[in-house]
Amino acid sequence: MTETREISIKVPVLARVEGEGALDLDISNGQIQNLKLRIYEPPRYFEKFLEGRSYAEIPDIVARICGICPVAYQMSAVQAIESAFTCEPGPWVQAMRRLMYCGEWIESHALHIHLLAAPDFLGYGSITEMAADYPAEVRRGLRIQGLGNEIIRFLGGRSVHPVGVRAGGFHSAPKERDAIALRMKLEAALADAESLVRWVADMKRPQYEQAFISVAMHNGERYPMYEGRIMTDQGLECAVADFEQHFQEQQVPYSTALHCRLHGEPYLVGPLARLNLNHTLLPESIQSLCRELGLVWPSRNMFQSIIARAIEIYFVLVEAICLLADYQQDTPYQEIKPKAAIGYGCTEAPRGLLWHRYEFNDRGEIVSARIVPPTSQNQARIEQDIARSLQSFGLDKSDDQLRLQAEMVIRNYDPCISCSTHFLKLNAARR
Amino acid sequence: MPHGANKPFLKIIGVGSPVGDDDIGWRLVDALSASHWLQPWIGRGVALVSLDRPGVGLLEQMGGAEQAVVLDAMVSGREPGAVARFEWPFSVEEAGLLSSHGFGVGESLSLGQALGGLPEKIWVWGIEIHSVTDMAAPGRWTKEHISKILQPIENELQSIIDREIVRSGHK
Repeated sequence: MTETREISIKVPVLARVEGEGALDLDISNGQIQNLKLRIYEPPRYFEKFLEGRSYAEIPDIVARICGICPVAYQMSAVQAIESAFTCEPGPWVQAMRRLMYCGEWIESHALHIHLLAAPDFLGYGSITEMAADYPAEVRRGLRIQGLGNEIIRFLGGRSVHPVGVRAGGFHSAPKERDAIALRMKLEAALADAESLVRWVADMKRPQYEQAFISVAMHNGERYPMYEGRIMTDQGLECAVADFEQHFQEQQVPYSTALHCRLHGEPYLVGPLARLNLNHTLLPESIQSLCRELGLVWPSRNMFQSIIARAIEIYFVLVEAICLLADYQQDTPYQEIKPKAAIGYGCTEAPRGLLWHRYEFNDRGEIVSARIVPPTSQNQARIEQDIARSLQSFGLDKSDDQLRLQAEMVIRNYDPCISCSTHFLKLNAARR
Repeated sequence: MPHGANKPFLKIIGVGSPVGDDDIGWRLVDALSASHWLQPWIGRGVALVSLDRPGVGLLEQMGGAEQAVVLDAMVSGREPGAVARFEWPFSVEEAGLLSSHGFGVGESLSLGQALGGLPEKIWVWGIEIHSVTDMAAPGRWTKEHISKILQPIENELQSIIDREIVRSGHK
């Protein structure tokens, strides 16, 4: 039956997302007439903060863009710096950067799964409510998250705003005995990681497929984290430096977060996009687990994002163990020789592609900076998804049901909206 | 016999973020770390740490401590600089403590309560702040402000340490 009532729903507080955002939704004659996701975007300020700063200061500054994914900002930043100054840090640094990223993926994905997404799928309002009935699962999640933080601390000195990263490499190389101790802890957690995948795969999720463009890094050799070209499932493949030729940001009047489109189209970045494009590069043991659980990639169901995160946790745990297996201390960094140049960096933050572009003067100071975070890139896709999902869900549902469904859709993207305290106001009006 | 570094009888945790005045917890931990009266205890039963938006990580940081004192910013309508003491369990909604990403100290303690394993005693000191919406104004909190804010907190910390001395026979 076509819903004919006039509905206007405004969600002032999107619950269980990183930061706050607002949602305005107007429905008339059974069709969505207006849908706006209003978001605050902190990186815009950081782009200005960076101007005039030395390249040496960038890792510590950009780490403060986000308390959940500081490593991602540091990784894209040092890649951009080294690209500008033609510095090749060497295989030890590349391996350690990949290891550090493993830590951040574990920490971020575990937090998302247990705090934000699992309560949705299991019917709880919060992790605290869920913990009463799933204490073992929540403790397992906290253990796994803690391991992610340990990996980050191993190389970064601390897990929030790590200080070990520098242009050219790391400030110091961890001791071999610390690497052995860390590897043993990670090996002991493999059973937890597999159990997590099974637990998440068993959750009842909406079965709703939709068409969208997946965008991720790809290098053909290993599951992408720190290196590769940018690829889409529509056949585009381009160098990191060519990002701006294909992806354009635009201001929308109702949000301080820019929307980014691929030749005018919304697109998806993040774990589901990564898995869609790179699932054949997972270890055979994890591919086998996916087959056993009936998980098929690529997937067009955004509600599979939680499974994608659980699989990535398992993968990076295995990857981190491999990276630590033959660990030896080495020269932790290469010296940098600044020059007037433009550099580009693109790595896979937990939430997706994170692209940096810096222009430097001959003293190595930033003239201009551009940072395109994954959450910005997903904005247009989120709006598209909400519109399609609610249409499919049924606009004849109550306001509360529509609002909750919209929030669930948004949470699939694990948006890292803001690291400031904001309050999202819900303006709901039915006409 | 001093406590080992791995299991302090008291952990003092400053929680905050670099936004606005939300770093007051860190400022207090810095001041306590430098205080002469607390020095003999640091590493010998008392541990101090500053955490940036720890979320559920607060539980890991508290783990193993017998007692914990958390210092955090709040916005509750009081005068800036006012302090309020909360002994767990308390109403998270009424406390007015800040929460980044919607999961602050109160929410973490609620989760810890559900899971078990919290320290035996937890006190949270909320410090009313000016603002979290603008970047921190340098020098907004003077040494005198910090000292005044710390007075009731230091009195409690001293009481906790005195009780520990009696309990364990520390000298």
